[in-house]
Amino acid sequence: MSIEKAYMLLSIALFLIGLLGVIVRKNLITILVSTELMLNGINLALVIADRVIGRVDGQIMAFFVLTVAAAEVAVGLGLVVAIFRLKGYEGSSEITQLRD
Amino acid sequence: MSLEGFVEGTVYTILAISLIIPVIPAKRRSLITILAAVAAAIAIIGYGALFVGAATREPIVFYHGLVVHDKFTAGLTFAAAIAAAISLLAMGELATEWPTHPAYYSLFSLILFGLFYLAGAADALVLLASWLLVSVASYIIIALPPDPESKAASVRYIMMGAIATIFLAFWVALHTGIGMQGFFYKPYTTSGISAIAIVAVVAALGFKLGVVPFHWWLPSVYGKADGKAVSLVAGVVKLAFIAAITRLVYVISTNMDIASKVALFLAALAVGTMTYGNIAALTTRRLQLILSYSSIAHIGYIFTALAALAYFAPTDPKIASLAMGAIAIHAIAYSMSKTPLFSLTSEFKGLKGLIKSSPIAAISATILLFSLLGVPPFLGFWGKLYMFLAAVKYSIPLVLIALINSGISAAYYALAVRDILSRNTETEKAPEISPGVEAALVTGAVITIIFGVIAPLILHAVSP
Repeated sequence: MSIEKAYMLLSIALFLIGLLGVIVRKNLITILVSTELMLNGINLALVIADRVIGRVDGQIMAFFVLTVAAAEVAVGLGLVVAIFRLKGYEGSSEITQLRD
Repeated sequence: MSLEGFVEGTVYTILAISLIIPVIPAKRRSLITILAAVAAAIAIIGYGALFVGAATREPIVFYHGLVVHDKFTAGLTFAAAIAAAISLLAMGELATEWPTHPAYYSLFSLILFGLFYLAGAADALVLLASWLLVSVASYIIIALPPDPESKAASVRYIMMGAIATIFLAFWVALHTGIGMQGFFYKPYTTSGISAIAIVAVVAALGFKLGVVPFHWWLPSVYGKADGKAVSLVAGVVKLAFIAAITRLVYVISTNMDIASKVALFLAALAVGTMTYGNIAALTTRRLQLILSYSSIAHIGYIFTALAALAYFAPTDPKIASLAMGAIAIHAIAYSMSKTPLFSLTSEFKGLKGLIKSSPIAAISATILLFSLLGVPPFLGFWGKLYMFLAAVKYSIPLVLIALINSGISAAYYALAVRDILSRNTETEKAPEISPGVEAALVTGAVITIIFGVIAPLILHAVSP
């Protein structure tokens, strides 16, 4: 197996593990971590695609995807902190656990 | 000075205002509000000039083709700026009472800035970046009001947003993988990777717009968060997303083979979306929830026209252009109605007795609801008429389903109107309504009537 193929399989595996986490877990922080994993899988795919084709477009995209991940997690975690301040540790679980 | 230079200048001024607002001391409330109003005014002038420019000559190209505004996208951007001004009018100084108060006004300007890029994106990178800018600003705006309901709504919104962004990033990866950088380069083919790319991008935008089966978040965000925050997200930001998806559908439908498949996919989504939205809206009597479900239904109507656009894009540019103009008119009608009505719901939970506290607001709200229902001569009627005229060329059963759905929607709109016009209130005293919301309702109603009268002219101005 060539090195590119191995990395591609790794990126698909990362994406699928992340997807499983988003579907199975109910905790907001775990879901955010899982989305990170999916985005990193996409990043790896972008960089590997570049190596195969021999361009740099995908690497530029990968930097953008990093920014996307950082911005979304920053807002998500900020919101978790806001909820903890508003309702305390006990009251916050019903919101962060995504219960109705 | 060239038109491009003028528009870019206004866009950067709006960005500057958005960056200045957080620096101003929090106690200078009126200054902060005035600055946000100035940003809205600049946006209306700048995007108005963009629209006039795009309507009278060729599409306007910015940044060497990274952002391209044609009649359609420029019209929607201009309408979004007007809707943002209405939303700010309803909000007034109220957001200064929120715990983090300059944030609302700063993010309001940031959204106005992002609309320009999101609606006009002609490159995968610009789409991803502006998508992120606008989405993150809307998550925070939903989370800003002090009540726990808004925080819970924002949690759902971020969850959904993260998934939508991942689908978009996935599309970007495939899009670069098949060797396309700008939108307008090589056509999509019928290969497997193109099919996955198309499904990914429709899923990303479907999540954002609340298309069935990606709709589960929408009622708990639009229906539970503070109405004035929702009015900006539901009425203004959505226009830019509609512009983005319309352009993408136009771009991916390059040949007959692929266009018919895309059209079938969109038509199936349209049927599910409008049927779910209209039937779910019958189950509630709370105006904010009715409006959220009707938001889903209206995206369904827009998808019927999108299906026609996809089908006719490669073969018959005339019908494709009619479909695009119809989508623009309907989206404008939707935005002009939803923005003030969502603002109203934050003050007026029950609706009964609105005519007692303010007859003019009650009449305006009635006009806006009738426009959503599609009663002539209001703008919503023309939107539906042109959309169905375009869609009937594609598939008659699809239009029949849309018409039946439109009939179902009459039930809940009529009940809401009856509540608004009834003089019996639940309490002794009719609830108060703030002058800002009253002004927003009247402005929305006046625009709906005027645009309704000149709708054929607007169709000509926005269809490319």
